[in-house]
Amino acid sequence: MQQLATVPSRGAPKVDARANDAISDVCIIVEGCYPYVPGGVSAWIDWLIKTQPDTSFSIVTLWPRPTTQAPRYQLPANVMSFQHLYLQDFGERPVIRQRRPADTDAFADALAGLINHGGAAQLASVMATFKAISGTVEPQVMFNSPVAWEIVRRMYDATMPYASFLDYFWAWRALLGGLFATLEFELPKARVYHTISTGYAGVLAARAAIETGRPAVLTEHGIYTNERRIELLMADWLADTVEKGHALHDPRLDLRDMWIHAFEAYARTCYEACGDVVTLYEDNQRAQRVLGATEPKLLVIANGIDLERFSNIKAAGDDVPPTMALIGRVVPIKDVKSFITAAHALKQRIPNARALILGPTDEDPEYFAECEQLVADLELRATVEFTGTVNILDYMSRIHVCVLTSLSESQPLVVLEAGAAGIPFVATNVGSCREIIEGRADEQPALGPGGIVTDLVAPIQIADAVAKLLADPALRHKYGEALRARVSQTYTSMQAVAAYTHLYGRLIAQPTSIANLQPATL
Amino acid sequence: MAGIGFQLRKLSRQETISSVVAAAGHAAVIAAGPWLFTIFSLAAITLLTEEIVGRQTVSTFRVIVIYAFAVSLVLTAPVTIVATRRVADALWMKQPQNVPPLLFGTFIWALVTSGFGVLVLCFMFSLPAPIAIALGAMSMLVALIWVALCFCGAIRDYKGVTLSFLVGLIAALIGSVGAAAQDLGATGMVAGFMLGLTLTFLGLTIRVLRTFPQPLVAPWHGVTELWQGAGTYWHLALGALFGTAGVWVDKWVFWNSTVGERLESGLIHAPLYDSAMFISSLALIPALASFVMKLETDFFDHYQSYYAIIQSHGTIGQIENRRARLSRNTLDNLSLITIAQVGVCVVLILSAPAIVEALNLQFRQIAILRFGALGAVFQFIFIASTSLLLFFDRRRLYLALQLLFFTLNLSLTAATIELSEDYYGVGFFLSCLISAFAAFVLAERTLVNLNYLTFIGNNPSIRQSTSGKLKPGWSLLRLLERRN
Repeated sequence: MQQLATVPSRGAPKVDARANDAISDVCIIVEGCYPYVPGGVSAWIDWLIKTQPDTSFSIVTLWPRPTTQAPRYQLPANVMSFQHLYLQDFGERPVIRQRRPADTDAFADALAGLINHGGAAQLASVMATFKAISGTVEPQVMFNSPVAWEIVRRMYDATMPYASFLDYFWAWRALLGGLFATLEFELPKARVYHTISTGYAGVLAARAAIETGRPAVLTEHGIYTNERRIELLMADWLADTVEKGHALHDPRLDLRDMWIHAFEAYARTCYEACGDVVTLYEDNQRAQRVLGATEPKLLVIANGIDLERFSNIKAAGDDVPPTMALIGRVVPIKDVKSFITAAHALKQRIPNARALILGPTDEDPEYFAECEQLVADLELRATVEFTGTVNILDYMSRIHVCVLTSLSESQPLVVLEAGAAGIPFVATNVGSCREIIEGRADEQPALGPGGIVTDLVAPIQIADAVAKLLADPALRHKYGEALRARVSQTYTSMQAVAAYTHLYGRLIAQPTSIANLQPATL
Repeated sequence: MAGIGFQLRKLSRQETISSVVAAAGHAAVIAAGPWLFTIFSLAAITLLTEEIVGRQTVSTFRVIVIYAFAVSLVLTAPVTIVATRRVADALWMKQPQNVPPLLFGTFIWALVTSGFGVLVLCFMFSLPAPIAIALGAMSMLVALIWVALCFCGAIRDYKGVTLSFLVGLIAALIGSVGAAAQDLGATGMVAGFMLGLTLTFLGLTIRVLRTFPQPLVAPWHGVTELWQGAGTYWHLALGALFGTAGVWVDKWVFWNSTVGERLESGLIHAPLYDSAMFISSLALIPALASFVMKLETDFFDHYQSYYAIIQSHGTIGQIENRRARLSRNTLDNLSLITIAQVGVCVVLILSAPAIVEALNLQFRQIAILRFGALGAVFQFIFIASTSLLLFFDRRRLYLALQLLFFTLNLSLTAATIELSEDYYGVGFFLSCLISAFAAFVLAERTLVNLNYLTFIGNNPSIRQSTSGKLKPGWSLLRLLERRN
């Protein structure tokens, strides 16, 4: 990762460069990461742009407000333009008097429909009514004007007239501020609009599809709506404003519900407006279906790895003690304690078994200390070893079974890497682990299991599974080879690149069709 | 301001007529004490001494007093309004130790501004030394009284205020009449008058210092704090300056016109206009007193309950109810007092000939007195409406309205003075009428749109979070709206 700031000519993202209004092939719309937050989705976007060198890109990055953070990625040469969209930049100072548009009610109703139910037709209504008002009121002024006041009043009356108005008002501002910013943003011209999440980025992509008639596509890594829901449920700044007491079935919404509903509605809008809804693994599609993504749109393009790096690793033989390994950081989400407990159970069955924990231990020193204490308490000092940060390639030929005890994952690359090295895997049923280990339902040809999937926080199950594989070299070999075959069949970087090349090619060639989405009739 | 009225209603709830009247009297002193003090004492001194020392001497004495009051009132108004805000801030933050330095700082600034004003007058009229010294001393002493009065208001010490003024008034009467009897001339009478003023000043200051017995640490800190306060509240400071200047500007126009007379001392005045206008402005006192009493007490209750329901998570229905109640009650009270004020005005208009007769004035002054009385009705509406605007922190509007009144009173007086003697006082009346209309409409709009203003339009936390880019083509009015 190079520092973008060192390349002021095209890098410094403060200059929201527009390349002469030229049309890019793909406009990437990304919320809250690229190019400022390293790793994860940002690294993926960097990879995507670099591996599609013949495609020109424009980038819109959604951010709360202007940031002083230095960008962590240098924009590749095929990026034509880079723009910021600030979600919490609420425009001009408040105005007291203004010329009022004739009908703000239609706009307010459309907005209420959008944040309560969502859908592309609702968004189209919002856009149409917004356009009607913005003839009278400048969009930058609208949010802090009597028009906004009329809108908030009407939406409050329609949805939660029993709630604390003070709290509603601030929630409304935060929620709708982002939406207004998304509505008034000047879209870069592109042939395809590719959003990397639902949320406001998804709404912007949906708006682009409706406005330009060009196709929109979504690639969802984690399910945005779920992540927001967890955040909101844990948010103690959000007062529970409706006293529901013990009545479980009180139908009244409170503000927490309003936020969650809004994000679900945004997702619904995005799923509806996007012609293709891509995710990393099948299990994510359940959530996408629930929020209205229809079957023909659904597509899995898994992240891939570079097989070459692992092709020379020999399988561990009998010359090393029977070894299982957890490759990952020592942090609570990886549930390292279950792994240690599993090592204890394994030792009962295979006394000379070894358990390695390969990964940095300094991220959560307190948790690491607890893990070490557990090792001591279970008298596992001779069995369990924390290696710290290492090159896993040096260790792979000494590992018989790889293990993942995580409580949450999306598509863990470590399973693919172990598979590329022909090492069978035992993993908890999180993210796409089952899909990688057992294969998708529609796998052709079916390759059979590449390991064993267990429940979460189930050390005995893990110990049983690992013991079974350690005791049976033939089974171990069979599973290892199945996993290797699956990874090279489905999970190579080349395949992911090809899939996006194909997808982009198809969408860029798609004819423009404005007529697809019409405003909902109210 | 709000606090004073709140305390007053407690007094009137003692439910005996005398205590209600007492409360009203206190309120009158707070709202218009300076007027009562000046006009009653001047009238009394004139009546008592004119026979003894002759018209010219009494006139010189009276003009010095008028100049001293005018200069100090206008030039300390911006200082005291900022000081009032600062004292309220200090009390709100429970930092009473900050009050003595603030008092000291306000004294200093009041002396500086009124001293500067006197210097300008001395050069303007090339005043002889005795007159200049008398004027300077008196202006600065009166400036100090305004400061002490404003601090007493902040601590709601009405008893102290009334007592100080009463003692001062009697002493001033005795002092100046005594000086006249001893044939000490106009400056001697000024010195005698100042004897009383000094007592008033000491009385007020002692009351303030008794309330805040904290030792005066870092006195200069108060001076700089006030300077910073003027930066924050510059709308208020300018508004108060133009507000008080607006009340005097018609007199200044008359002094400088052909109606004006130059005294031996070099000072100019226009007794024909001045005395009639001073008397008619006494008509304001009952209305202002009931305004402070009724509006600021009832009003303050509703005002607090409105903000309380918002903070305690009320629904918009509840908020709107309280807003409507606040609005209705405020406007009702304003109308009631205005109607009563119209009554006072009618009485004054009908009895104008009798008043002129009794006070030994000229018959030409009857018309001026009548226009003055009419103007007072609208001046009351203007004062009430602009102070309502301050309750809702609409400082820019407050400033704009005071500017409007000042400009109108200056230009309309200058324009009508040229017409004929029949139009003397019409300029003042029209200025009051137009400004009152504007102020009332804005106060009414503020009450009607209060929810919008509270949440968006005038919400400081929204103003701070927005980018506030100035667009090309901004006008002066827009500039006033933006800067804060």
